[in-house]
Amino acid sequence: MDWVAVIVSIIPFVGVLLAVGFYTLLERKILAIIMIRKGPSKVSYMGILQPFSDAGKLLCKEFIVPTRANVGPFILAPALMLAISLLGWLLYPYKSAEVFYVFGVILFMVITSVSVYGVMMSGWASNSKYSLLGAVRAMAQSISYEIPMGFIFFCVVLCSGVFMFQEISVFQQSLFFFFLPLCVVMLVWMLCMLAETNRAPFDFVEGESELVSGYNVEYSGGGFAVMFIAEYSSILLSSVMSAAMFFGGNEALVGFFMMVFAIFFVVVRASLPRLRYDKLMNLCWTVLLCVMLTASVCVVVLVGV
Amino acid sequence: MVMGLSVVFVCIVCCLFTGLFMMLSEKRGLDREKCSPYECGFEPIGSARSPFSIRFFLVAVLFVVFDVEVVLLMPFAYMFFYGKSVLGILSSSGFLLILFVGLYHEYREGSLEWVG
Repeated sequence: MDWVAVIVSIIPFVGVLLAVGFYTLLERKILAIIMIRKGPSKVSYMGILQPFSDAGKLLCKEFIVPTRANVGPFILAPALMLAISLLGWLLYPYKSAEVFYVFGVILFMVITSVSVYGVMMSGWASNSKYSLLGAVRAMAQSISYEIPMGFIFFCVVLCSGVFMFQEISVFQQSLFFFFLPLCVVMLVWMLCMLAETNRAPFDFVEGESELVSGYNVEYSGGGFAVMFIAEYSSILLSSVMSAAMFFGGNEALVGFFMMVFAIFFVVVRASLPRLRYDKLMNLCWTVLLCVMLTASVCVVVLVGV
Repeated sequence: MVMGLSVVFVCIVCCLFTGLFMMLSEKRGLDREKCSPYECGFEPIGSARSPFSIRFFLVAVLFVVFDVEVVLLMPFAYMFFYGKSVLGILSSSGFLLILFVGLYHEYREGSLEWVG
């Protein structure tokens, strides 16, 4: 048994789980600052251990399976979501990573597509109208925003010439960030990431005024906690990826911009109102897709010449 | 090696979490009110496995078309890495133009409009 390999393969995921915990604390603190209140400040010193006490509480709460729910999928769906979003962390874009994916971009697209299945399972299995509607909305939304995302990857890959996230990051080593030539593409990418992770201005999945809590209404206690971890780890993954794709090069810089993007997700949640669902779909299919097609033509011509 | 171990570890973590909350969670008696699906305090009306709007299905169909096109586009990026040519630029721009015309046709036909 190669213990070094075991440790090397375990540590990143432990780090991710810890990061998710502290990211939830960060989100609550920033939201509290923006709303001029205190936020969690009692558990241990300044509320630093709040995420762990929350996790402990949620794991000990009662887990109710509603009547006539499909019990198997209902229990498995959170685990599936967590597994998919953790597997995305296999391609974190650092040179110190132990596994290098030559076609990492394509693996990222696959993982974002497959993550729809967890939502579908949980929404269908819990035998509630709200959760079914929330799941259907989530699926349609993340499906449609995958297409502009594909075009964004096309632009970035065309500029760097490789599909590997580490190489894309290294390509920008001379401080020539892809953000400079591709700033429009980066704006579209931010919108896509907000929509893919079902975050604030596009959170129709859990629009509280319409759908109570979306596909996870029926989940209580531990199931909800696991889904929550999955959601936040995919947010962190997408902010790492956007830092590596548009502000890559130096690894310290990638880390810094990853934090900037992670805070951006929170600040957007605190400051922007929710869109309407049909406007979201129109935004994707008519505006973003046209912008990305035009940008792709421009990039093809510029790179080719 | 590392990749296989990582996948195994992820699976173990997920099973562990699930098993943990199934074991740790508080067990109380279940009654009919508590187990019924949430519906604003009412008795659930009708079945939850109800039909939903056909729009969502149409979006899925459109997605399949455009996603296949994205997949067809990806090799172009690799092609430019190995050799740039006028023919390459023209063919990929032509492909993107065809996509644009297709999108415009969908838009004019009204299949992109959510309401209506």
